[in-house]
Amino acid sequence: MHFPKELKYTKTHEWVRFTDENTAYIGITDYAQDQLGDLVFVNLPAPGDALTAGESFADVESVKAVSDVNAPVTGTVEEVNEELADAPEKMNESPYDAWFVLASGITGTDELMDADAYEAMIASEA
Amino acid sequence: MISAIKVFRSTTVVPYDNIAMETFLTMHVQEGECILYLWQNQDTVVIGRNQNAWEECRVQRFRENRGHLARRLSGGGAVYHDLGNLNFTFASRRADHDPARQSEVILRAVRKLGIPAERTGRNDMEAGGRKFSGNAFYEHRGCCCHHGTLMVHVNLDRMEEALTVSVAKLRSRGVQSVRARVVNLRSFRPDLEIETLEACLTEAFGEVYGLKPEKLDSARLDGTEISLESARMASEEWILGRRIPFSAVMEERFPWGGVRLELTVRDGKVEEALCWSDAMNEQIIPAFGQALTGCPYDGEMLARRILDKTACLDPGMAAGVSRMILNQTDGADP
Amino acid sequence: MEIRRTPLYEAHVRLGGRMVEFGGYEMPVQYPTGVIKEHMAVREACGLFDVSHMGEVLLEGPEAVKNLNHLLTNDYTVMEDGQARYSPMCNEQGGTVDDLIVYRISPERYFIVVNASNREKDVAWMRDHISGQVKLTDVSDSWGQIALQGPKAQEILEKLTEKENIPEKSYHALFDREVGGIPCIVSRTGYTGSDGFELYVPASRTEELWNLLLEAGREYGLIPCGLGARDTLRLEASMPLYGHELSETISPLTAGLGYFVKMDKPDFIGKAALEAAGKPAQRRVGLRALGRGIPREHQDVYFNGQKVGQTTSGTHCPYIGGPAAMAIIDLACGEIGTKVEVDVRGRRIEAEVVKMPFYKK
Repeated sequence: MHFPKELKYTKTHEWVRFTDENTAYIGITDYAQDQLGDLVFVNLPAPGDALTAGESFADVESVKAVSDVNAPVTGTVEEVNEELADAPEKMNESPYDAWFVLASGITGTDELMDADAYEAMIASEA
Repeated sequence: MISAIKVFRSTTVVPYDNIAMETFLTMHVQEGECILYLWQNQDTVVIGRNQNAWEECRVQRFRENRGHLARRLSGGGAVYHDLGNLNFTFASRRADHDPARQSEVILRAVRKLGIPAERTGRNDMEAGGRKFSGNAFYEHRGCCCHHGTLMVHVNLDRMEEALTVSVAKLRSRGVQSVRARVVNLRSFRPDLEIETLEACLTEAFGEVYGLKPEKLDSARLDGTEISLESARMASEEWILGRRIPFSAVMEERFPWGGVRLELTVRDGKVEEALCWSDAMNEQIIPAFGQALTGCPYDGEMLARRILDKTACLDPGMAAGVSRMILNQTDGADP
Repeated sequence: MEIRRTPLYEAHVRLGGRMVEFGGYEMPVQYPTGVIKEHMAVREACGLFDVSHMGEVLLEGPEAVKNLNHLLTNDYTVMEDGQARYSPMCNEQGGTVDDLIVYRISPERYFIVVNASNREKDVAWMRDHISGQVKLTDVSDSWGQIALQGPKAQEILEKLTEKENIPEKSYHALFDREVGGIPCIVSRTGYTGSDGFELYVPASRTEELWNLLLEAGREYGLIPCGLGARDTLRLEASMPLYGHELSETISPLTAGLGYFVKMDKPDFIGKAALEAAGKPAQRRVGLRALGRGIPREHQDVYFNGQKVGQTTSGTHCPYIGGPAAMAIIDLACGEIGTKVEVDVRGRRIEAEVVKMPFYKK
C-alpha cells in the first residue's frame, strides 16, 4: 500500500492533489479501495455542485456494499471524471490516478493531513 | 494509463550488461510509460532466478566452450541465446502492466511477417504448434518486467548441447527435448533478419498502444548504477548461487515446475535451507527456504511452516511443497 | 452467542482471508484476490469454498421417511440411495423454518444439511415434531464441508480419486468414499449455479483435504473463494437464501418454490395454512436495473407510482456483468418484461422483471 507524499489526506480516506492553492483533484486512497474490495459502481456529482468539507458528495459501491465518499474540502465541482463511471475498477487498480472530481474555490483545508500523518493514523487503526 | 511509449535498442551483446540495463529501465520506468527494450546476447545460457546452475547446464563444459552463463531476475527455466535470437523487455509500473496487451505487440509484429503466431498458456508464444518465444515476469517495488526470447535463427545444435543435462533427466521430467518443442521464425520466413523483426516490433508497439513510439532519451541512464548492477550480474556469487553443506534433500516435480529443497540440519534443527526451482513464480521459491530456517527437523512442523509462511503467496504451490515435505521426511534426523 | 470457527479457520487466516461473522461462525468473506476474480474462477475454472459452517443432521429409523414427509414440503417416498433432494421446511403458518437438502444413505438413514444460522433452531424444531421409531442426531461438529465448484471441478477431483468415487449425476452423492486417501462423502451439488461438488469430510481431516485440492487444482486455475463470491454466485443463479428470499413469514410458494411443495401429499406441517391462504398475492421475481445504479436488499419496488413490494437480495453480478436483484412483489406486476422502479437510496431506478435464473450453465 502506498501514500504519495505530494497528496493530502482525510480521516475518512480521501486524497486531495492540489494543482494550485484553490484547485485540486479528489479521490479515494489505496487503503480505502483495499478495504472496500472490488468496486463496481460510482455515483458522481455534476459540474457546478457545491462541496462541503466532511459531507458526502459521491458514493461508491463494491460487490458487497455501498459507501459514501466525503468531500475533503469545501469548494465547487469544476470537472467530473466521467471515465470512472465506465471503469470503476480503476479505483482499485490505480487509486491515485482515479480522480472523482476537480474542485475549485477551495476552502476548509484545516483538517487535511500529510502522507506521514495519514499513514500513522492507518497504522494505529489496524 | 499509458501515455508514452519508448523504445531502446541495446548496443552490447554481453549478457551481464544487458540484464543490468534491463533492470535499470524496469526500476526507473515512469508512471504512464511503457518501455520496450530490445537486446541480444552472444552465446549465453540464461537460467531462471531460482534455478540451480549446476543442475541446468553443463556449467564447466559450456564455459570452457567460451559460452556465457547468466542468471536473470525472473523465474522459470533455462534458455539459450545467441545472435540469432532477439530479446524483448516491456518495463512498466504495476498499474500500467498488462501482459496480454504486451504480448499482443509481439503477436502483431510476428503476424506482420505473415507468420501465424499464437499465445499459448501464459508464458509462451507459438507458431505451427512450436514455441518461438518463451516469456517470464518479475515485479520489484511496484515496477514490472515482462521479457521474452524471439527465436529468429538460433543455432539449435548449440542450444541443445547447452541446455541438455542428461537424457535421463529429460525422461524423468517426461518432456520432449528442447529441440522438438521450439522453432525459429526463419522456418516460416527464410529471408527474415533481426532488423526486420525489430522494425515490425516498433511499428506494432505503436499500433497496439495507439501512440507514437519514441526513442528513449539516453540522458536518463545512470552509467554508474548500471555498471554496478552489471558487475553484480557477472559475479560468480550471483550466477552460481550459494551452496550450503546440506544434509537433507527433498525433491519433486510438480505440474508448475520442479522443486529441490536442500537443508542443513544440526542438532535436530534446520540451520539453513535453500530452495531451487524452475517455477515461474520467482517470489515464493526463496520463501520456501526462508520458511524452514530455524524450524525443528520434523515433517509435521516443517510442512506447517511452509503453509503458514507461503500459502498467501500461492496456495497451490505451498500445499504441494508442504505435502512433499510430509512425504519425504520420515522423522529421523538426517 | 459464542462465535465458532471451522476446521479451516487457520487456513483462511494464512491465505489472507478477510474474516467476518456469518451464521455464528468466523468465515472468510473474501481472499486478497477479491470477489470478482473469485466469482469468475467458479464460472470459468474452479473455486474452493469452506462450507463447514453448514449444519449436518442424521435422521435414522424405520419411520424416517414418514417423518421427513411430515416435516418437509417435498416428497421423500420414492428415492434411491445416494440421491439428494431439496426442500423447504414450513412452520404451521406456512412460513419457512429453513430450506435444506436431504440425502438418502439407505432406506432408513438420511443425512440432512441445514443452514448454519438455523442449525440450533432446526434441530429443536425437528425434535419437537418427529415421532415414532426415529432418531435425530446433530453431527455438525464432526463434519467439515468443502465445496469444489466450477467447470474444472470434475477434472480436479479425477486427479485425486477413482472415477467410481465421483457421482455422475447432479444431486447425487456417494457415501463412504475417499479423495486423496481421505474418507469423505462426495456429492454433486452446490450453491453457485455451476457444476461442482460438495465434499463432506471428518472435521479432523478437513484441512488436509483442503490442501490436497488446492494443490491438485492449481494448474486448472483453482483459487480459494469466500462468502462474498458465494453470495454473488447464488444470486446470479437466482438461488434463494434463507433470511432473504425465505423466512418465517415468507412461504415457499411466495418464494417461487412451488415445485418443492407437494400439496398432494396427505399432510405436512404448514399444508393447511398454505391451502387456506390459496394462491399467494406476491411472488419472487428477478429484476435487472435499466438505469444506472445497483439495487440492494430491502429497497422498495414501485409500479406506476404504487409500492408493490421489496427487494430481497441485490448486487453486481460479475459474470453477467451488471446488477441483478430478486424481489418479492405483487403478482399483478410480476410478468416478465414489466417495468418497475426501485428506490435505491432515494433515487428511483428503472428495472425490468426478467426470467430467472440470471445465469444458467
